[in-house]
Amino acid sequence: MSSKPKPKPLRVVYGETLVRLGTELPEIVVLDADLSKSTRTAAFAKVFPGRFHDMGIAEQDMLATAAGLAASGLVPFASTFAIFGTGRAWEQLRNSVCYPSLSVKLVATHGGITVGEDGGSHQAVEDLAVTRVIPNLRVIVPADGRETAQVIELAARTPGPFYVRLPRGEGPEVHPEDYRFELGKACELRAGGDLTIAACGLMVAVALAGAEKLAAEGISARVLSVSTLKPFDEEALARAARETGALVTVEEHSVIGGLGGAVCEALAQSVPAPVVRLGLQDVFGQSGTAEALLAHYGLTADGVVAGARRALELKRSR
Amino acid sequence: MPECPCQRPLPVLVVGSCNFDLTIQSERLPGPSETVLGGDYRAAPGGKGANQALGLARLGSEVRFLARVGQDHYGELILAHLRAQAGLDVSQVEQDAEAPTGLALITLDSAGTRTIVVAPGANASLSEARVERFLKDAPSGAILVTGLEIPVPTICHLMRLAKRYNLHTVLHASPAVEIPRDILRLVDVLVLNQSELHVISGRSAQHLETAAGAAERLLAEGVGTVLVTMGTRGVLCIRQAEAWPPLGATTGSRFIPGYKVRVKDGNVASSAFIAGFVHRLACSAARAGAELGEAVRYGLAAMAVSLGRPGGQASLASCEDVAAFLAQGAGAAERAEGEEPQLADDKLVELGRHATSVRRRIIRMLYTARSGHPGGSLSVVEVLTALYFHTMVYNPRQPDWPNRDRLVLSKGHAAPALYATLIEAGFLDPALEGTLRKLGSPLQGHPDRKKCPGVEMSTGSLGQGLSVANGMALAARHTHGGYRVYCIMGDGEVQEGQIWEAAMTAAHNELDNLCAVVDYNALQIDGNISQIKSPIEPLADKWKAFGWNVINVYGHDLVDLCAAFDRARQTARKPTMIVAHTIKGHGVSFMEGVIEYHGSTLSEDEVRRALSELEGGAHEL
Repeated sequence: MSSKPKPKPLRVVYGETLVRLGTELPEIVVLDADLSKSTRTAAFAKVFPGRFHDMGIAEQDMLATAAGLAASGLVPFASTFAIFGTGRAWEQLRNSVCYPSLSVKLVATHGGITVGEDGGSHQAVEDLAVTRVIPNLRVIVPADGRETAQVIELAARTPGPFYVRLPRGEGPEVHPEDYRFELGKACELRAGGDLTIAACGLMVAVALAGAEKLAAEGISARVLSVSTLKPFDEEALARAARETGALVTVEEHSVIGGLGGAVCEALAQSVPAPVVRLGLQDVFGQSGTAEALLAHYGLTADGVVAGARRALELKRSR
Repeated sequence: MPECPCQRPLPVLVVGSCNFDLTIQSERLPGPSETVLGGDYRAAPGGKGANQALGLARLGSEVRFLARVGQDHYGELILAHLRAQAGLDVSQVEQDAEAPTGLALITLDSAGTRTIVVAPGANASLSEARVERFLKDAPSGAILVTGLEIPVPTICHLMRLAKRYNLHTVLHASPAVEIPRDILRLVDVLVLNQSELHVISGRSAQHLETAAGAAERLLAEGVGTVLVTMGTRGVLCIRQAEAWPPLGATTGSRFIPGYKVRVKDGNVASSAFIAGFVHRLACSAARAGAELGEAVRYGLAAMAVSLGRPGGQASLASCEDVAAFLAQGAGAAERAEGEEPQLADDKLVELGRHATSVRRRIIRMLYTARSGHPGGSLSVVEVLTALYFHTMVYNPRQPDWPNRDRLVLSKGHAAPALYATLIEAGFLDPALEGTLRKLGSPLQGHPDRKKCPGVEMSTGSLGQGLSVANGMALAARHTHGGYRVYCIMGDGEVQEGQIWEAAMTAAHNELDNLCAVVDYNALQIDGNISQIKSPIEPLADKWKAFGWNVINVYGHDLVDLCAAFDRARQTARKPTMIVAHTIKGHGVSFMEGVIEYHGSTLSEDEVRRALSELEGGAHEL
């Protein structure tokens, strides 16, 4: 691990991927709401100025304009921070994009608490809940740069609306070099039989670190990277519940309605099993460094270990 | 309309201003401290009181005129001019020993915009005592006409005395100056335009509906009838139930449309209207009963004749002129002389037929559906008709033809109007009419592009359609599609903030392939738009300020709508906004302007009445 170069922020990968795809797919146009330097769509704007529209600070207008572009055969990528793209413009996403199932790709950055210092107003910890509930919308949270590039390309080449959530920061590569992202498929990154740790986004690396610690204690944890929250890989989760009997979910999101919620909803109808949900326990975020915030909300390897112990206890007491 | 009998009508009393007008035609109006060289000028008698008196006399009324001029050259000219008019008694027009004749300095630019400064001169010394003497031998039941160009205390005194002498009072509230509120109850008929109504009532009056609200406010202060003049568009009549003059047999819409003419001179238009209106009342009062609607229509005809001729007072109509104008058919003059290319008669008839058919379909659909939005569907019928049968390029056999023009019905609740139009245009099977809002139907309660061919965008949640239309217009640029995009919004809808985000986007991107329409019917679910969120006015100015090309039209006039869409197409580097002044529920008399028909279930009886009104379809024109 230590020999690898410092990973790029996922949003940088997003910008680079857009530039690469821009040449191959002339139907791609990109919109941003005055955050192109942060979301990194500026990279695309630089190369394809005529296909980039800065909509100003107007997220609702941006998403509905993207809908109009998509209705006319183009493939618009629209970017802003997750809190604005899914919060401010939720109803535009629902009614103008998803209800008519138009090929708008909402790629939002700055999802979750690793936004850090900007604080709770800018930390989207509800975006997965509010997007997961909209029909026709695919919801994806890539875990590393390798996956991000593939997710963006798949979204560009697949008709219909997508929501892709990216963090502000970077994380280590968690997927092997030959990894192939498949829409709607969870990826097993570590085998294990005592319990399953399901995670998404930057928390996949945290889950892997937790599993490493658990292994030192003689506990064998399976790690699933669940990057597609919708369509949800109910089968992989049911299998994990059946084979390991307990689960921990890890996400920088509210424990309500995100990955934890999706796992509970799926298992309740297939293989009921104890699930310990790590994330924001129905609270807003706050200012601090990303590291300090993750530690504060228990989204660390130690937090995962503690969660795993609780899950195992629940499993034993059944 | 029957010919004017003109048999010994009751005399009309006119108390008003008498001025000498100096009018200079100039390319543009001068700024402060600036001198500009003008062109032609005209020096001629004027003043609203004199104009009204002359207008009435020319139509054949016997007129007694009270005014005041100076003992000067202008005063002599005016008197000589007035004395030459048969039927006009100027024995009471006196020359003031001290004050000069009232003088109006008028500058008129090439666009018809005017600046006027009036020095009242002798008009200001028309006293209360003088008025008292004038009224002494006033015949009971006669009509008294006056205006606000003479001293307000004199007017107040005049109005109070008028009741004592059993006179009917007509007050022209121009110029709009402060008047004591208690004289409003002495006014039988108050005539004013929208901006005067705004000042006098203190309420917004830009749209027909807001104007009606403002006029009703004046009724509450005691005015019997308020006539809001709206240029050649027509007159809005708002009256108390028992007011004089009576409504007569011709009930129906409160709005009486005017006659279209190519305007040559608008200087005496309001006086021409008042002269015609009052003359008609005076004539019929001598016969049997005077009727409001008939008198207003006659006034509009007299005004139309005057507008079509040059020469200020010289343009005022005679009784024969008006009869000839009405005999040749109101529309004929307009189409013979219109400046803009007009639609051929048969084309207009065809458009009108489509509009009526669309209305009938809407009513039938809503009846079968047992729910939906009649008011806002009916108000937008002409806009849709003009778009689908005049303006837009499409192929109903191939609804997704890539280069088609596109329409986004942002006010999605008018879906029945869109479906009816799509049926009329051949996109949809007429048999679908009965399936509106039913399970499995392509005709969803609000438009659904996935379910219904010809529907470009799923809408219904207000405020989003203009952004979508912008996206389509931008796409046309990206793909070199060459098509145009249209978007219809509601007026209440512009309360949504996203509309203004989109307004900026369209202007910023210079989307001249985009043309939006606001269906300005001035009613929203909770009430009159000016009561809910009044700063919507001035609506046109807002769009102008956002960088749009703005066109105001009467939204039920197919000729004007088609011309507006044509002009939008010729406008470069700016999106166009057509502010379509409409009437909610238009075409069905009992639904017009009635808020309860925004969203309601129609009874069998209502449907029967509505369809029978829409039977002929000729009135649509």
